[in-house]
Amino acid sequence: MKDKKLRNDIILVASLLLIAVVALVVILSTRKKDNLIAKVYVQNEVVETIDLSTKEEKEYVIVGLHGNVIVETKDGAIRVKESNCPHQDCVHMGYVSETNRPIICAYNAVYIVIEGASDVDVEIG
Amino acid sequence: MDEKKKYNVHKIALLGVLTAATIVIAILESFIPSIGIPGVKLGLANIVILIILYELGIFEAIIVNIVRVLVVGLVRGTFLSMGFFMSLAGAFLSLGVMILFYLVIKKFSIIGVSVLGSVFHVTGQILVAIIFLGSGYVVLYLPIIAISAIITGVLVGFAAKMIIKTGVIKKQKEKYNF
Amino acid sequence: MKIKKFIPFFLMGALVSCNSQNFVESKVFCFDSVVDFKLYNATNQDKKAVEDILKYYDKISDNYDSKSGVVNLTNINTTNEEIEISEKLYKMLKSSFEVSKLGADFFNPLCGSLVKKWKDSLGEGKVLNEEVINSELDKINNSELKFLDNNKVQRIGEAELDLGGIAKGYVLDEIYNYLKEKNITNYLVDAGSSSILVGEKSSGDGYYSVGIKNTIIQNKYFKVKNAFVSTSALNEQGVLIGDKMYSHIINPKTGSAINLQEAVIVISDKGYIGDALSTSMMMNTLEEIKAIEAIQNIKCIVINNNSITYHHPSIEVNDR
Repeated sequence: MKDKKLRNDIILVASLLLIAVVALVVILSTRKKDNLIAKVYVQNEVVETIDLSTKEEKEYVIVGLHGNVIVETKDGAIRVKESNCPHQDCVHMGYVSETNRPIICAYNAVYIVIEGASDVDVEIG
Repeated sequence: MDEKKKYNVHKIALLGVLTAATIVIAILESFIPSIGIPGVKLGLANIVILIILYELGIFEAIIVNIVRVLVVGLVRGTFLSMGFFMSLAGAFLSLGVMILFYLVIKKFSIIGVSVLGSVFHVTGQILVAIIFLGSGYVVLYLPIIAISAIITGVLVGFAAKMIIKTGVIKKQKEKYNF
Repeated sequence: MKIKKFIPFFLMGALVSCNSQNFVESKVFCFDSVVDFKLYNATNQDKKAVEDILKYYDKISDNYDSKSGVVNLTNINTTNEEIEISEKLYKMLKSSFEVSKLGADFFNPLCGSLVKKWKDSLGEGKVLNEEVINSELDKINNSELKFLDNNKVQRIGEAELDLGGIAKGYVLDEIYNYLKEKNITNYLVDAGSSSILVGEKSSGDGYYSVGIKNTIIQNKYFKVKNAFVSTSALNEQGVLIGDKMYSHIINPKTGSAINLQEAVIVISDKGYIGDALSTSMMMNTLEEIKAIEAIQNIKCIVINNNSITYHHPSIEVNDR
């Protein structure tokens, strides 16, 4: 009985790890690193759309739920520079310059999502 | 004859000590920064919950779990914040699943049960984060967090197993008849 | 957390707080839509200059309201006397009358009243009355705009001036002249997605990708650089009455609101020509379009029945 349970444990851990690793690989392989647009959301609404491909150095003041969050872009990357949240997890994340890695400040309901830009520069019609 | 009483004073004292232990571990753990979204923790405090579940009873485990979540929330000042509800959801989803696999689906040893508890703990936390933030993007962090949860689950399960094996709790049970 | 670690960030923050000089962008509400522009290696002064150009031409080409301080089309349309206008408006009007000699057979700046009447009628879901159409055509045929000395013009007859089919292209020309003078070579000016001016990118092959937004084809694009791109299309502005599609583009010769093409895209090296032609060619047959293309320095893309019926051989239209 004990051995059977142990065997089941190993199968369980192995399968869970496999699923998680595969998911991680998918997420990492579908991320884009060029031609990026960052969208800053406050409570699910986009308040800023930033074209990261301009490689501009600029600061944005985002009004969050409990205070202001300072967002900074530099060299095609974006980060939360300052926030009044207790854990500072969002600040600790540092610069992000690829998709599939959202920066989240839950305390202020502010999150930054990076997406691959549209494949065209402008639309006519 | 002395019957095994549910409300044995020694049992309550022991549970008190264990509750304090899980609270302390949880508080210490909350200082470790989490990856990606705030509120997702390693789940080391689960060692104690597991031990209580296996050695002292389901009901006892549930009570200690509730107390732990409340006290940690109050002490860390996150009471009623998103992080608090994440912990709450995580802790109860995790305990519910562990009880299920301990009591009903007896296919895994304590290590397996711990892994399941750990994975469902972070899943519950992420689900609540998604609901609170109103955004599904958070789920992108689930795989990496799940991997860490699986590993922690194995270690926690192993540690709990070792502690139970030392017979410390068992001796107390026999000595004081609970 | 060590405070020391953050000092360089604070210093950087202080430096970075002012706007970078490298890239400016802005949008202006004008010409009944939004003009978005991006200028690379330009300053805030350049941004302001372009905004001013857009606002100025918006005012002078307005034929619905006369704005105080600026003499515009509305002023001209309400008098038959000699009237002095700005040099810029004078030149713009001159160009608008010349463009019909450059292949824009169905472009006539004097169709303002006819266009308004069709717009009102279609707004009520009705086809414009035959008699009204004929009366308007009479007005057009019996009117002219005299160009006098000292930036004076005189409107003869009852027809009204309308520069809608050329305004965006013309203002893009003015913006291009400014950018050229300032040696700004990388830019993108998007006037309501119907007239666009692109420069040359500083990386890669320098070409800008232009997606065809036409509701029937949303998965094609082509590349251009240093060019003007104009389009006229039926799109959302078309009104279906019976089994015919009526557009906002009116044939000044027949008074009809039914076009021969669904959408025409013109790539040119002069904005006002591209704009006028893209409007006028909606009423040309495909053969006529190809003929005009051969003579003028333009490249066209023609769209009908959910597909690209024709595109100039040197333009590659690809799937996105």
